[in-house]
Amino acid sequence: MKKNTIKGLLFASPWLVGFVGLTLYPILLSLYYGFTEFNVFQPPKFVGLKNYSELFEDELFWKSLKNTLYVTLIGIPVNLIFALLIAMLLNMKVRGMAFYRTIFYLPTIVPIAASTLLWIWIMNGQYGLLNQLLGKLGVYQPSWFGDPSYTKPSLLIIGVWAVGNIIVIFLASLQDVPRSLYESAEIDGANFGRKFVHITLPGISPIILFQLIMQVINGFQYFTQAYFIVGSSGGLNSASGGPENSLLMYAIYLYQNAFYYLKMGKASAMAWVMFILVGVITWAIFKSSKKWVTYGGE
Amino acid sequence: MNKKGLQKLGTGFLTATIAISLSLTGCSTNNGGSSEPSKSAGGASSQPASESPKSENKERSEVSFWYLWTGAEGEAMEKLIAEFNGSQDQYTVKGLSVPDMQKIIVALSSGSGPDVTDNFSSNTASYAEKGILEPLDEYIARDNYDISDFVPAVLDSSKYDGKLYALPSNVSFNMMFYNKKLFAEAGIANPPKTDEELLEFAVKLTQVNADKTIKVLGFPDYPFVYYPNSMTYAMGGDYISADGKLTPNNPGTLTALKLIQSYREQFGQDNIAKFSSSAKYMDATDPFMTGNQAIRFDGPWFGHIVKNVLKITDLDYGVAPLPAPAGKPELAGGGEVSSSTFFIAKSAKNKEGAWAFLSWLMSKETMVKMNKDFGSLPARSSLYDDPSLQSIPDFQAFAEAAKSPNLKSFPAISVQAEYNKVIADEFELAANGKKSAEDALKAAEEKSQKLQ
Repeated sequence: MKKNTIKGLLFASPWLVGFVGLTLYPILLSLYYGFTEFNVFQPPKFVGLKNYSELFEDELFWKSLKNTLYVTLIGIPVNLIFALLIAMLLNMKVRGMAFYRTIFYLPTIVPIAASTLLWIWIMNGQYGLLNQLLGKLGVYQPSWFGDPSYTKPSLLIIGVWAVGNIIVIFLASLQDVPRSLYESAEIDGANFGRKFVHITLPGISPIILFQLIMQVINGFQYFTQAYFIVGSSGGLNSASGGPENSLLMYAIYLYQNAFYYLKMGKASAMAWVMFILVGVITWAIFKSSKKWVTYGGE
Repeated sequence: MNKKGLQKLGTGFLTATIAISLSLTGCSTNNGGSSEPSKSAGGASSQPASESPKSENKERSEVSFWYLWTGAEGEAMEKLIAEFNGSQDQYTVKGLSVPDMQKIIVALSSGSGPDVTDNFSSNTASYAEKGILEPLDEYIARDNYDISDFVPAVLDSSKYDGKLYALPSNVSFNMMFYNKKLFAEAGIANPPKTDEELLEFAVKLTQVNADKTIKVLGFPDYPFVYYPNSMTYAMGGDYISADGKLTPNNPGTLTALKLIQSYREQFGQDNIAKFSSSAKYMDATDPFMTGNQAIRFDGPWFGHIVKNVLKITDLDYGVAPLPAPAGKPELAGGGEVSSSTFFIAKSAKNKEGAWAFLSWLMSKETMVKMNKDFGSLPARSSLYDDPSLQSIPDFQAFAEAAKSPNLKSFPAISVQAEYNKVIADEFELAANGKKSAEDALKAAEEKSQKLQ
């Protein structure tokens, strides 16, 4: 028995060594750095909770948190509902379905950097395709990345365009819902709405939970799209956060603190605040999931 | 400008993601697992360089030199390095183009960085305070190295606590570029000399489409980032007092801010935001290049880029000093000076070789060659009559303006980046009409007091 334990550990050791040395140790170290003033060049100086108390007084910290919560709290429901809708359409028996499925997945395989640069052109205030279309319709044409009240809705539009991954997983789960349930419901005279609420949604609820949690984790790390838009639209310095800092995401501000201001202590504190925040939200989602997730096996 | 562009776009997607994962996991670059390219910075005791051209002396030691330049400027830099290596037989400089400031900093922190590298004057104080830079005073005194002809404001920006930490290779400040054709159409003969004239002319020069959007922008509102500091210094303002207090709430900034507010109120915030956010700096959509901007604040690289890089020939523009405050001609010729700088890393393994190369690179002969290739204004004012520099577009206008005693550099304090951000953020809010000019500058003052 004991021999086997040792053998087992030995077999797992490549991962164990990597995990302890490259993941666990740096994570613990960042916890320590969070309590220090550390600029990477001089040895860290212990300052207790100063980083955290300063963080809570920092206007830009709250701004970045607010921006991130915006793309998370509004972006995730929009993405999930849109993806589910598309997945249901793609689940119908129509000719040439493989083609449609490919089309909707395609945006996902475009590198984010490339697609973002493309969107910057599409949403250009004066020359962009989108505004030309809106102009033909005779509606207001905002300067998408120039007006602080339109920058984040722009991010949501870009986000909803690339939900191919979510669609594919929803599609797979939709096909897993037992056909027989629909058939018996039809015999009982259930219409489309009732079938959706009582069979489809419970059937795919574990997948919704999974997607929701993954999206929350990704949402809090939102970086690339906003970073590129800031970089290409007039932000001529590395500390820029877009018009009136409306694109200053939590992860961008963390990055700026770490590598632009060289405040590794403050950045580490920010990382831990984010970790705790994501932890609490995930826990709350799990807790609530007992009420709305049904597992077929039970 | 190339370098400036890189400054904003240089950190690509990859670095960004690495950065996040690094910072999330504690970023212990000096604790193993460094993701930086391993660059063998051979010390003085290392193997003799194998490619020594003159085999007589086999003791050539290696000096590693990373620079932010890429493209044509990068090639010019490599040419200079080859010239240095051929000119003496003590050192071999190995150049590497690393257009990513953050990468260089991280490499320096783990001791695997270059011996010599470049940056901007805006970072000198912060880097000096953190112990990244090697002070140069002893080398200069020992070799009796001549720095007397550097433009004073630029040399000041390379000092921290009275010590010199970097040598500037060029001088950058903004001047006023104006489109002569648009001026003639509006019936204006000369560029504006005062802030009052600037607003008056800008209003006359602005052309509006049927739907109120801007066709021709009269005011130097684009690129907006150039406006606040340029105009503050042009209006005789300063961000620091004689006794070292931070003064974002100064009369110069207030005048600059109120001026842009009145222009924007007249033509509509929305319309100007749309105009500016649709344009891309130094690109086909740049409004000054397309004849849709009448007045523009920009730096010494502007003419070089227009004529030599973008090869635009049909743009008839003039260059003039920034406007002076009305009624105070003694303050004319003001502006904010910055520069590209070169420094020796404190962690350098071959400091003697680094100084040998740096002092050669910043010598009069090399500085002329470098600035000729880059189309910029040398930091040594004694070079301004050099014939080989006269072909740089607008060179004489800038050389003449560089003599002004009213040029100042942004305060060389360790929290320079944070301070500049505070000013920029509040200035933007007020310019966008979200706050009054007075409230914004008061807020900037309160925030900047917490920085020190």
